[in-house]
Amino acid sequence: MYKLNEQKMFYDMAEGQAIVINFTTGMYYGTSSLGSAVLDALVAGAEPAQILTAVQALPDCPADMAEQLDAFIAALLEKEIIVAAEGGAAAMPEIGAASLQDGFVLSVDEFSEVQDLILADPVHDVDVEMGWPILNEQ
Amino acid sequence: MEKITNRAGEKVPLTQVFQALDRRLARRPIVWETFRIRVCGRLLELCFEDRDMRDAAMRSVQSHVVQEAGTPDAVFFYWYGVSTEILPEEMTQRPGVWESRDDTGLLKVSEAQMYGVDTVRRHFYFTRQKPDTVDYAVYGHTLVGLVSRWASESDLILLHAAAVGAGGKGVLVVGRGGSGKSTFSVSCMTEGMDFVSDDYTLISASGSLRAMPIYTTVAVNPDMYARLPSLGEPSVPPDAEWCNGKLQFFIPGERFAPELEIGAVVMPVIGPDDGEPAIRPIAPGAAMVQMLHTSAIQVSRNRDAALVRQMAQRLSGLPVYEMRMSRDLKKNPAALRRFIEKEL
Repeated sequence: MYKLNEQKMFYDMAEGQAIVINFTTGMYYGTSSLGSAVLDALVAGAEPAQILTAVQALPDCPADMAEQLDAFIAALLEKEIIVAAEGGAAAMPEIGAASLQDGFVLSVDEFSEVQDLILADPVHDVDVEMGWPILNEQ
Repeated sequence: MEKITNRAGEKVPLTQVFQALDRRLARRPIVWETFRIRVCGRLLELCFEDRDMRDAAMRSVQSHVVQEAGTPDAVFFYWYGVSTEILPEEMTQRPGVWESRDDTGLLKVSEAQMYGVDTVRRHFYFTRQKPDTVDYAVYGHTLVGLVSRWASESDLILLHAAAVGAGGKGVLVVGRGGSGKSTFSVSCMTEGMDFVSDDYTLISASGSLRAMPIYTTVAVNPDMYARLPSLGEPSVPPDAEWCNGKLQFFIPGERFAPELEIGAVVMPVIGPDDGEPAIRPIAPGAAMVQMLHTSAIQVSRNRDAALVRQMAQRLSGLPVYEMRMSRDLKKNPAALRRFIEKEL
């Protein structure tokens, strides 16, 4: 069983979308639609086996969903979003077709500045005295 | 992180880049429309290429506008431009964001817009392509975007939260759209409580946690207006384009508390009936995510881990409460006042 890592994370679920903020680093995370439902179930105390049963009950569930779920949980643990917990299993929140907006995708995305940066050196034709952006006028 | 270099391969400080940008702007036929405001005791000058944009921004901070001479703490520049004015054309064709940062400033450019901060001269720049239609709703976000960056350079933080209180002590009010946050905070104002903001608030980044006003309008949904009769008539025609469907009211400066000592976060939820409000402690997660996420998103800094971390660490430890509100709007400010007097 797992629980939210409250030593580092703030978590909220709104309109089917989970948002997690690591308040010690400022990084924050989003998940796919199904990932949000699974994460919400994990944070609520549901066992992975319960979650897998619920997902596999959805129409057209891929055959490798057990492996996908294991990989997703491993990613959540690696990012310290969840930690192992003790205690009895809790009631399983519903996972239905509304959680399949992205299909059967289990992903967690880390949002940071570096994702969008163009990795190129902007050396170009500039005025030798003033540098960029004083273009070397023709 | 990109570095800007000249042909000799030497790094060019960003403050020099912005000085070059000033020279480039001086060659354009821009007649700057300007005004000055006093916020948190500091004089700011705002310069706009477009008079409509100037007027929209000025309306939102009307009670802060001053006719003061002297050197401003910071100058803001807003104009319509394209990223090819800032970056070479071959770079502007690539998707994504180009950013450079050093001890003298920050430059962040995408195809659609540019933010620039010259920390040496305390100049702040924003440009975007001129929209095909008037897009006043964006102007507010433009203003808060640069204000957020000025705040970061001024030992302040701009939060997406309301702030109200009593006797100089107060709470930050956070909530999702439709939670009643704005109506609740405005009803606190109409009931004579200390009022700082109904939507965006400046807080101190160090020392005691204080909230201070940045703009001087309030907005309510039309369906709530009838239940707040003491607001009077809206300050602009309700169908004005820039009102974004809400009724806007210019509030005299004396109605604002210059600052509040913040002791808690309150997350309102709309109750089922006209019964008494109830305030109970809750785990901080949902409120903090709501406040941090929207604060960063609204100012286009949602990937700025340093800002999110700063906000989180500044607010961690604040007790968080859920307030189940009465549908009798008068009961809610009274309940909050009692809570503040007893608990903070």
